[in-house]
Amino acid sequence: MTPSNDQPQPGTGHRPTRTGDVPPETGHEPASSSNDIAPGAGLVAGGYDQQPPTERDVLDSLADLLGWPTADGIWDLSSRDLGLRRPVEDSADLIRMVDHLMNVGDMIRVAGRSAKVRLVANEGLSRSVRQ
Amino acid sequence: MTAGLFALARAGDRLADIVRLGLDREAERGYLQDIVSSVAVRLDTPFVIVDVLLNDAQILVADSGPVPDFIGEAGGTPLEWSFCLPLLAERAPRQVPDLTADPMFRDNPLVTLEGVRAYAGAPLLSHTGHVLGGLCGLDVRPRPFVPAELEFLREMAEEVVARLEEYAER
Repeated sequence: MTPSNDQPQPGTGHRPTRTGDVPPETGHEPASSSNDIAPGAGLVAGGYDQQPPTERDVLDSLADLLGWPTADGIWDLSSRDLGLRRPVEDSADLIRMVDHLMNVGDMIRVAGRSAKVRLVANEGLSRSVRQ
Repeated sequence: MTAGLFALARAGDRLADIVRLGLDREAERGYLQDIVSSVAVRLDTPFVIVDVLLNDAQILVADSGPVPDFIGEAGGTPLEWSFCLPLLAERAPRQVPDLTADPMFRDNPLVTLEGVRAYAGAPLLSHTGHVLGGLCGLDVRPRPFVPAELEFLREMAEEVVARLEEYAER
């Protein structure tokens, strides 16, 4: 299997070395064979691996925070926005993708704050008119 | 006119500037309090507000005077309620001596329900040239503002932006 063509699958144990896998009693990375380490695992494994992160590594990080369906969905939409085919393999394209993601995140926060202000203010206005 | 102002409010590079300064985030900004207090004294208005115009709402980042509870709870108002909205296009201090006679604002709930009658405001212009929002004084009686008061607002708006930029870098 070509690593960069992997489709993200929840629960496959493909990427075992995140903080959640660190035994709390030792604080050390769990022992693992080379077969356990995901492609481009320099992002996640101990040491100073020179392997650049792959699309899969970035998606794994996103999925840690958002869950697979959301992470994969946002990644897919972002690649379409930028006209990039998946898997995104070129480093410069990956950087464009994460820049785009950060911008999308910022705008989601702005839109969310706006929507919340509108909802709370309008509800408060209705309440005040009723009184 | 309002549609054009909404388009200006939703410009991506302007919103990115607001994000750069962290103005979309809820935070205590006590470092602006002496400015709003001095504006309240100089303009003799019961309300002074520093507002930031997001894509669909204005948020209050500093204020002086008792804002209605529901606005305090929301942390702002819908964008179309903002008296500072025209600053996006005009980019200069402006006033509305009698809001009940102003076609854009006479039906505004802050006028019809909360009794706001007069407005004077100056734009918050970022160093990249975007209008972030406004610094404004509001009165509950109709009244004109003299040019020196508008100039004072402009100077204080510059100081607000200087502090926002300074604190964003910390």
